[in-house]
Amino acid sequence: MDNQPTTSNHDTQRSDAAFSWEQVVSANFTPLTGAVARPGDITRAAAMLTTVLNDLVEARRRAGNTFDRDEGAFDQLLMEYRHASQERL
Amino acid sequence: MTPISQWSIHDAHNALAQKEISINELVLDRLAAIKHAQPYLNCCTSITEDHAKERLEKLRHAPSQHVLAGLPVAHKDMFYRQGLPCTFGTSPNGHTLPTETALTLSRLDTAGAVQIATLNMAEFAFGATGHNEHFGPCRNPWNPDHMTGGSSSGSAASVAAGLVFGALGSDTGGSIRIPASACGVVGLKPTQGLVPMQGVMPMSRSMDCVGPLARSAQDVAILMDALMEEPASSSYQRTLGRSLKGVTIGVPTNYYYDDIDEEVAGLMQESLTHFEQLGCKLVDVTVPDHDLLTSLSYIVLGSESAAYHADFLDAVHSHYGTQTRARLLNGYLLPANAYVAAKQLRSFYTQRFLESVYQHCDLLHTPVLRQPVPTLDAVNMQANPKMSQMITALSYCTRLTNYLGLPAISQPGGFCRSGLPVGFQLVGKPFDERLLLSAAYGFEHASGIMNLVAPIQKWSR
Repeated sequence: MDNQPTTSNHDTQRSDAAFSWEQVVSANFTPLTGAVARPGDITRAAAMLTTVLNDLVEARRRAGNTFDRDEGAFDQLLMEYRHASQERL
Repeated sequence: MTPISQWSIHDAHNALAQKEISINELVLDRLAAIKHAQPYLNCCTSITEDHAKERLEKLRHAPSQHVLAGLPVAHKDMFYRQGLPCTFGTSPNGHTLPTETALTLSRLDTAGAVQIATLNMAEFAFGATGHNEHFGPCRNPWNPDHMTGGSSSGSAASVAAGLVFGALGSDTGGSIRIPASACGVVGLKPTQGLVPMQGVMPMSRSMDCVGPLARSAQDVAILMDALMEEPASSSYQRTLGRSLKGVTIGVPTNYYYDDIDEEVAGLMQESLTHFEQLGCKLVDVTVPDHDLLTSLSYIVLGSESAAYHADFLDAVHSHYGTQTRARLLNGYLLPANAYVAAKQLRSFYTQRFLESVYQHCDLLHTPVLRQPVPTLDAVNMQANPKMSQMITALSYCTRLTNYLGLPAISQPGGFCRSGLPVGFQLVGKPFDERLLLSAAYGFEHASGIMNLVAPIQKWSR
């Protein structure tokens, strides 16, 4: 049986009312940060994760979910503009 | 005679050349001025008088002909200077005594500039208001009850107060442009990777930029020439004064003007009118993907800053300021794959932004702060629940530019009725700093809004 989640199930996990970043953050805050959470830390971190990770999913989708992405492409892009700028001088 | 505080770099250079003043007198004068202003502006973490006097002695034996020779400058206290403490705006546990000097400081030294202070900043550059729990808030020279903006708070304040001829800051999400706008000075965030970062404390290595602040586009261009050691043939000053006829200015129809204050919007429109008078063409542009770029920027910033601070934060996290600690700890919770993805997506979104915006225009014109400069009390959020929204609101117009790696300049555009300055931002294509500076220069001469100096003497009574 294929137990890999389907895309829709994967999406459902993120938006399932039972799932909450507050639970995840609360359980992992001290192990990951080494600090004891102060008032507001958990809520703030959970809100941040909710927003940025949801936006990241959309960013990947909008860019076309693909294996063909290279971190170095940004530096290459800038280098092309730099050469063009130097040629204009 | 015009007060020294109102001199441009060329004014000072000419006065020295004509022996109206000596380098010694100039430096000692500005040292006295910065000492006098410090109690109420709090723009310094230290006044480096001994260092300045050593520099004067060196210049006496080996004079420089550079236009910056003998001119007092300062920098955000995150640039290493060998043998001088570097505080990063944090508690004493985090201070360091560098064994190297930042390349940018060395280049200013080579030009003959004289450092007279290290400047107040948000702790570890984590802040957009100018508050600092260890050193106290930096205060706006136009009204000390108001924020300077941050994190290059002291850099903007000291320039605006006429205490130095230029200052260095850093910008990872708006930290040159926000204080430049709030203090009425010109601040340039160069293209990612243009100005060397060697010897500068990192906040987020992929997005950090070092840049100059000064009271005019010409003075910023002079500083850029020194920082980049540009020969005359490619000088940043060389293109100043060129005609802007035919330059197309993009005015965003989305995002940047959301929830903007009416008075600020009016000043934006006035600045655009000046560009039209210069022969620029205004076109409407739609900015793509703005809804995502802030989050992508935060993923990169959060992950990289958490990694940089890991050892120190584990050991002495209680010595970090409340807001710095809160923001840094969030970074530990970001999944690694999110960081990698955000980095990988950078070229796609930059290319798309360039194609969408710059096929229609040469420069994008936007506000820097959408509201008038707030009071220090109004934005003193520390780590309370509204802190994140406040930071996002202040960096709303600036943060995306850092993720995209683009150059941008904050240029004074006038004043609100409250008497506080309002800046506008021009964003260019990669390595188009010369066009940004030319446009800023043209605006200054068309509008007369240049070389603004805050009347700080009224605060010192």
